[in-house]
Amino acid sequence: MADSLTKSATEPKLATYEFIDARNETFSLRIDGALPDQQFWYAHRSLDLGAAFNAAGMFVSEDAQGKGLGTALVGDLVDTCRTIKADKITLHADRIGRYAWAMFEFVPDAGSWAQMKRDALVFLLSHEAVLGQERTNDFVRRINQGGPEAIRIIAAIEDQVPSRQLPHRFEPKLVPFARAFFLEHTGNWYGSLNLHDDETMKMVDSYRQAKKDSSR
Amino acid sequence: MTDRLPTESLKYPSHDWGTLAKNPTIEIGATGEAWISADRAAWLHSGGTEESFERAFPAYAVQQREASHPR
Repeated sequence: MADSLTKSATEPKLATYEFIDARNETFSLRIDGALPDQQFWYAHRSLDLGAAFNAAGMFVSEDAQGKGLGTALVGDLVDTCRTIKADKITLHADRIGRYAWAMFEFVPDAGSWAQMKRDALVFLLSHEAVLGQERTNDFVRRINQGGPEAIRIIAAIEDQVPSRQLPHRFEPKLVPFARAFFLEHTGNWYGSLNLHDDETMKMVDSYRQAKKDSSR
Repeated sequence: MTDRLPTESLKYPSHDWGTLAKNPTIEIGATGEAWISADRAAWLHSGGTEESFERAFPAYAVQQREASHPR
């Protein structure tokens, strides 16, 4: 199981089962991996009643980030879920994952969406000068009327807005709206990826393929 | 489920922006045609129209036009 969940990581790794409950078909597993130059990663996975895989935690050390390992590890998880016919993957999106998992087609649960929606409406209105009145009104209307999948609308807004967190000397650094929103404005969220939704899975596959092509 | 896991596993020794702090323009996540079509589906699902989608995401409209009519 550990090999299947992390097949993209070929460096030495160590798997630790934190618990196995055969009666309820649940387990929790942590896999630690070494990378060259003292970099490392870990992935924490648990299976809940055979129906949902929980990507409980994942970390790739900073100098090894941005090279596609995180994406590849979630890709391995998707493949494993397909093999064992799991229904969905759930996760807690925190730190950079708040943005990354939105771009990986994860959709927030109802509680997270209620908060995210409120945050998004405030953030949109505070950037009306950048987005323009008509577009701002359009976004507000769609996000208000949409369900949790309207996270995609927020994640797709690329207009440049000033960052409040990135260090700068004179003028604030400009970053895409979606990044500033997920990384600086809204909080952590719980979400899931529905493995039975064909549209979503088509999108995940196409994304993984594009990522593979660009890293060649 | 996460409440049954050791809490130290949920703390990461990094800050929010991670690798993006060095390069905020680095691509994360889905891009391209597949992403545009997912975004459009969410837009239409929330009651929007094709026309208002193009107005809301003018850059996508240009990308798609160029993709369907390559020079």
